[in-house]
Amino acid sequence: MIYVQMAWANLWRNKNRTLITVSSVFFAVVLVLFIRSMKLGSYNHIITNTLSLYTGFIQVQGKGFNDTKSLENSMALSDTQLMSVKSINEVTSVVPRIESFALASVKNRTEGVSVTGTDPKAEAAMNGLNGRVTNGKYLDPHSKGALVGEGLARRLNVLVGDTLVLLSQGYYGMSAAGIFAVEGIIRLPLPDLDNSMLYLTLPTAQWFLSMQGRVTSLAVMIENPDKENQVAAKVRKLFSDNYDVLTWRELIPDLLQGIEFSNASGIIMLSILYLVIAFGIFGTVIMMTAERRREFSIMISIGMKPKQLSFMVFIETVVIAMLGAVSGAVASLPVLLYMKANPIPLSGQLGKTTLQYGFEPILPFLVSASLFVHQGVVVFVIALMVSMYPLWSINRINISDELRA
Amino acid sequence: MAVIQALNLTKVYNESEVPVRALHNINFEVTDGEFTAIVGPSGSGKSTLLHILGGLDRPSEGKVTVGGVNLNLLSSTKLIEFRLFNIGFVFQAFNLIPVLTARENVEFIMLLQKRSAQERIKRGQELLDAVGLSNRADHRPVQLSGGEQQRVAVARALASRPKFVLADEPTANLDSKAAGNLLSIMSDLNKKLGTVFLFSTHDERVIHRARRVITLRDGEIESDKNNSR
Repeated sequence: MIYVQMAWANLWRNKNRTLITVSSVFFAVVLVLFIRSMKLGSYNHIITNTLSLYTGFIQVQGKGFNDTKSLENSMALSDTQLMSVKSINEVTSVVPRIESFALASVKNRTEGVSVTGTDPKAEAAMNGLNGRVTNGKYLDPHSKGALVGEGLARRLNVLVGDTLVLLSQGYYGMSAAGIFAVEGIIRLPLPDLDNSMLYLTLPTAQWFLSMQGRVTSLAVMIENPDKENQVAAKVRKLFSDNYDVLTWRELIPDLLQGIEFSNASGIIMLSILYLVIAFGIFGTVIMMTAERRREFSIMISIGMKPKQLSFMVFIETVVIAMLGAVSGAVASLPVLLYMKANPIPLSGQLGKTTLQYGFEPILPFLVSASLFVHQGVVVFVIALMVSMYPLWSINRINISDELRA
Repeated sequence: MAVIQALNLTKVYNESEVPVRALHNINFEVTDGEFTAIVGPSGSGKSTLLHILGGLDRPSEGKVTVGGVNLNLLSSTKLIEFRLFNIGFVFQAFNLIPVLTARENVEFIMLLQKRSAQERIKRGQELLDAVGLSNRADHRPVQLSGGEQQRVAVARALASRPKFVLADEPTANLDSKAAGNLLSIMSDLNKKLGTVFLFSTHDERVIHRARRVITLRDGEIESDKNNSR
């Protein structure tokens, strides 16, 4: 206990030295938290936007559909199954879909199109598709017509009210053909989608492709992305082995790889920052050790063992690291919460580009307990590693030389 | 009985290109109850000798025995433990632990020795009484004068019940009155407790209070005689 008391008293014996060291840890924590919060916020923003528009966090599919996107691998989906997925606590919305391909023909123009049959209300709830209508109207549950991507409409040269013919192959090789009125034009964020996407209501698509009561996927959105695996497990329990329950990581590995690559480069930058921080703290610790070598020598000369002295100095460093890490985290919290509520708007070309990709032009921040714990622990560990220097120094001290100096 | 024996002590520093011989062939004994001064001009080897006798440094040649124990044969850790139980130190610059009060500074040594709280408190009080500082026991070093700090240092040096106390220029930073006072206290404690005091000095006020004076010059003993007062 005496060592703890002495360590605490030592800290305040030279307030300036202690405050300088605490400040170096404090600013390190604030800086890494700010940078990491922004980076993780951006990833979260990209993932949430992408998943809400396309796959959802989790998808239920017919067995093998992810590998072979054929209607033969579609699945029967009952209202009971739909409701039971909806009733899982963490689930915010579910969208049953049919995804297929067709040839769209208008007068003498024919284009390949991606046909998506969906529940318009559920789709709007999941990704605000209704807000993307630029002309005409959004689909209602009883619509028999189609919603066409702006780029596709241009390629087919159709306007709202025009009709187009769709030709495809339905379930079990049935021929599929239908005439659909264009009810609305929508602007989709990605050019590839905008140039090829055509939406029908789910019943219309089921009629068109002769697959009543069947869908190709059930997209599931959840409230907390961290619980993705947990929810996936719950969903899996609701379906037999004839279904696949996949997370977005399995559905769109490209997105995952892109984020992991970006994250890896971010971590390299962060490591460089950690290194700078470590040397900053190391500098103050070297200064502190040099100032106290004589004091350490006196204590050893009167009978204090180096390990007892090291323990006392170690406590001092732990307290400094904790003061810096905790105060840094506490000071960062309101700032990050403010930034989360008021993300930095992206203006100019960057903002326009972001908007074109269907993302809100903002630099969002992520605030989570794990962020604080991870960064706090890393800086704390750095401080502890740096504290090895005085311990090393104490064990190499030449008492006689120091006392003579 | 010999408390300290120095046999053929030689110390050579090889840190510079030319080796520096600080001590050469030093031989002497210190017996129970001695109050001995080691004197000599700056650079004569006084501090080096005290450091070697106190186990703070090791000789290049020769050996030191304290109470029959050859310090050369002790590992660094054993040597620290040996110092803790057998040797008291008083330094020129007082060197009290700044964050502890006078009482805590005295008790700290006994804490390192793992003595009971009851014993620590009792002996701490006795020693502070002996150096006339019981009324300043709860003051920190910064709140004490130089003379008071050095008296606390003497009490601290005696707290471990050492075989001898080494004092390196104990009065160098004190005025005449404080130096005289300190010498009186050290002398009284030497007589009362029988603890050996061995101190280096070139202060005439101190030299004439010593009962034995060993004079060093250029790392060798120039003279070793009893002081007639």
